[in-house]
Amino acid sequence: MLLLEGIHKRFMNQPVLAGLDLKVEASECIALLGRSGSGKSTLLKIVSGLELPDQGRVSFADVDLTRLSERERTAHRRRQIGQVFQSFELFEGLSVWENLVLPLKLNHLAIDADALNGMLARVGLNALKDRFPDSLSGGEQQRLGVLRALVHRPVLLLADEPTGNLDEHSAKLTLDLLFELARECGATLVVVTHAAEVLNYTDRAYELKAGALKCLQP
Amino acid sequence: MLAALSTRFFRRHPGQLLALFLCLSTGVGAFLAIVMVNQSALDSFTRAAQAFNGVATHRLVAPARELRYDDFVRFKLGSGLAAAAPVRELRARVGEQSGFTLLAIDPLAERALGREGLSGSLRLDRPTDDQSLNLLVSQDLAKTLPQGQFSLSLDGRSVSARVAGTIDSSDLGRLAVADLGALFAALDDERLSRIDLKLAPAQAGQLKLADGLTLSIIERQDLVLRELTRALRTNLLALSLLALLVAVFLIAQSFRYAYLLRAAEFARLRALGLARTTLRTYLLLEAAVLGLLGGLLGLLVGTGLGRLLSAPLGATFAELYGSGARVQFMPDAILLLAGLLLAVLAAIAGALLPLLAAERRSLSAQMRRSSQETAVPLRALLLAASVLLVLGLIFLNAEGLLMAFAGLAAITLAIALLVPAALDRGLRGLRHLPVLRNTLIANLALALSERALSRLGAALAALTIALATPIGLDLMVGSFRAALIDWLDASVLGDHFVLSDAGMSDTDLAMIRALPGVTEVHPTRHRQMDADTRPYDLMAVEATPSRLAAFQILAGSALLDGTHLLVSEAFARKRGLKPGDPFVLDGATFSVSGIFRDYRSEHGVVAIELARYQALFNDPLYASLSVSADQAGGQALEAFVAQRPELRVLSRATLRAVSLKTFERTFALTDQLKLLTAALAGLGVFAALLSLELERAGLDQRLRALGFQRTEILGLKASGALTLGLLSGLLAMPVGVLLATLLTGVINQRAFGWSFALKLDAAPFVLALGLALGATLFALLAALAFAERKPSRALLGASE
Repeated sequence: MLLLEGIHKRFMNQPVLAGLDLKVEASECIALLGRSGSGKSTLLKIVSGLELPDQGRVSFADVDLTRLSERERTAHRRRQIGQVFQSFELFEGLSVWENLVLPLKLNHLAIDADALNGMLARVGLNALKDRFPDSLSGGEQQRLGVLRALVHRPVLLLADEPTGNLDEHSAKLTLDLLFELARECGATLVVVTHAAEVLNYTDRAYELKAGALKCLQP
Repeated sequence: MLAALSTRFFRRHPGQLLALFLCLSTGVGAFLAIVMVNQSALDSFTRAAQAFNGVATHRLVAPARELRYDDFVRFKLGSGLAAAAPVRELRARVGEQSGFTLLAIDPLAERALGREGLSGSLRLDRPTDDQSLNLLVSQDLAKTLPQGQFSLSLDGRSVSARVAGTIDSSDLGRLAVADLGALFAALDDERLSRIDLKLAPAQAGQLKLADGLTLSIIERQDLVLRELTRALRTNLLALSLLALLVAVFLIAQSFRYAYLLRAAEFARLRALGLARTTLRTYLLLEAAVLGLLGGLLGLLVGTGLGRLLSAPLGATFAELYGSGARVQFMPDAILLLAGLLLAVLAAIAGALLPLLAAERRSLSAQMRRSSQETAVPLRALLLAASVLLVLGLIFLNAEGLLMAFAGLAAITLAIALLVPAALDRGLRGLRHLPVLRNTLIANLALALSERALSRLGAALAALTIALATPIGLDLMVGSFRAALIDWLDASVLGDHFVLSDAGMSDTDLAMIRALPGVTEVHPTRHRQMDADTRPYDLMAVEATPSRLAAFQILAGSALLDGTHLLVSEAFARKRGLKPGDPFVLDGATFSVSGIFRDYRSEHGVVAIELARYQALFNDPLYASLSVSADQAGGQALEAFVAQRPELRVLSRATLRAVSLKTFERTFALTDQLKLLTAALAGLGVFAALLSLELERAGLDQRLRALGFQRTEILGLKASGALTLGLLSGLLAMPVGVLLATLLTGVINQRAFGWSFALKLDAAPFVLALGLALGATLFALLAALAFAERKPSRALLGASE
């Protein structure tokens, strides 16, 4: 279970998050909506442990992230969290296959080539596994991004505008894949988005406004 | 609009502009500095030689009678030669102290000979109140002489003298200088020891001499230094060439980065309709302007660096040959223009080459970053390198030193082009090693390095060449040193050497042979010869078994008699002689019996049997005697020479030590220059890594998001950079051996005609590897430190 209590965060003396509370149950899928600059990405960075709140408590699976050292937060993120980004954030220097297995190697997990080939085939990337990311289409890159986020079976999946750079068709394919795999893995999913169609996939939705969350989809 | 885009790009990426100017200023600066040091080596030597030995080439002596000042006057009037200076050399003594040499000279004549180092600006002829003889004395002698007026014993006569000043040189031993006129007055005697002359080889043959006068070439004390200086200069020239290549690579690559970072922007402009020629013209102008500005900065850096590096060289020469050897060197206009031209042309090449390469791809491909960071274009590089290798081999086989340098440059360039491909293969090989394949950080570092090679390739090629240069120079210098020691040990006979500028007679030889404890004496006579206007040294020696055994025979056999002679390697090479060939000497035909190793003279030496020489030239004198003696014999010899002021004695150990000391000092300079080249390459790697860091600004955040610890990210970058440095260092080893082979086997042989075997030594290889790792690590830390100050906020979304 992900629990955020009384989260405050300021940037350039401007409050971005002001006493935000959020509780997400295990395996639940939620959406966070909000205007640009409302603090959605900052909230995700706090959840992932990349940033600390100025005030408040973030706990996940009964572990208080705010009490961990940076090294411990990194180790926690490495094992427990998978992330999908709007601009894919794949490694141009690594092939499709190398990008995919990176989290497995990072976590010292076994690489089951058959299973991975199956995953790639499922999203139509099997024939492209030796190619480099920017020779792929946007949709293909994001599907690879989704696979990479889930390949090590994280408990929490964070997606920041996963369809922001995709056309309608690619966006649908990506969302289908993201939620399907998250449910198969039993991962908790937090999606930050502008896209209303995401609400069709989520259990609950919140709008981030004036530093606090308002429930849209109870 | 293009200018505005460029300005904003460099404003957004000041690190890139800094790297660009660093590469330009250091590249031009290092090239300029090395050329300046090279020129100053020549200037220092010329000044040193003029300060101490003057430009005197010959000496007039009268072996059978007294040489008087009248002879000098008559000779001057008869020959019209201005560069002639009378000298009286005497043995002097104060009380019971050990003796010293007194040189009496004519300051005006010395000036005409261009030799002012000994007399300095002091007026030796100024009369003193007490009418005593004014002396300028060496620092060693000054410590032992009394203050004020003292009694000086000269040729058994007592003369009142006083110290008027000291000579600014620590290497003169115990020496005093006096005015010749004042000495004549004090002794009431106008005898001379010799007349020093400056003569061209052709003049020497045409000189008409009065009865009783003979002309001899000066046994130059600086012979070894002169040849070493030439050797140093030749090798510095090779180093300049390599530094030039490294500089061109660095400048070109820094401009290439500046282009590549903007390639997508340029492609977008082209997609919007910007004409190809407009873009090309703009980039050419931009590169020219930046090249010019950076080049001007480089001239300042180079001038400062050159003066700094030249100073120790001047000091070395000054220490050896007096303060006159110090030079204040400034680069000339041609050198400055060459430096600017280097900057501008390399900048234009760096900017235009990637543009021309990019134009072969589609605009959409140009907009993608991956299309700029593709695998190394192996086939094109192989083709270019093959062409250069063939050209290099053609140049190396052609005649002349210039062609040898062209061959060296072509082969070095070919190697540089092959370096990225070799590194690419090396990285792939490493990735397949099981131990690295299963290590995440190492594997990831290798993968990222492999992909970055198209960016770092030029910098690493420059690093490899820059690291190979010290290896090549060190191996060459070490081999030269070993060969010189070997040659000195084998060819120098006897325990002591007795030298005389005026020459020694048979009586002198007999007296020395008769000294108790003297076991063997080998007399030698030298004569400067001139065949087809090409001078060479003629050396006459006795054909005794022990003397002949001292020749290191390279071809043929050591046979000297009335019809056979030996020639040195340089002489044989320059005149195309081999054993069995005829050689005409002063009208008499000889047969070349063998070729011997000799490092004395680049012009070459011809050795003939002494009796044959004396018959041919009617010259009964000896210039030097090699004396083998036990301890008592050595002391007897010292005592004998002490009574004969015209003779000098040197021990074998002193001769060896002086030769090697000169060698070490002369070549010590290359150490600084080697480090300068390595620093230049290190800077290139820094600029390349900085560009890469700036370009990969989002990499850290991506890695952090995936759960990489900061230390792991640093380790990943360090291991990637160090692997590339290590591979460059390893590649530099065979390249260094190849450079050493070219320097010893082609450049030095072509320049001097002498050869020496290449001796491998582990030290330069270890040093190169250390430098490779050090330069890469330093470059990485500097790049990281600089990149840290400009964190990218572009990735993973800016903080909202």
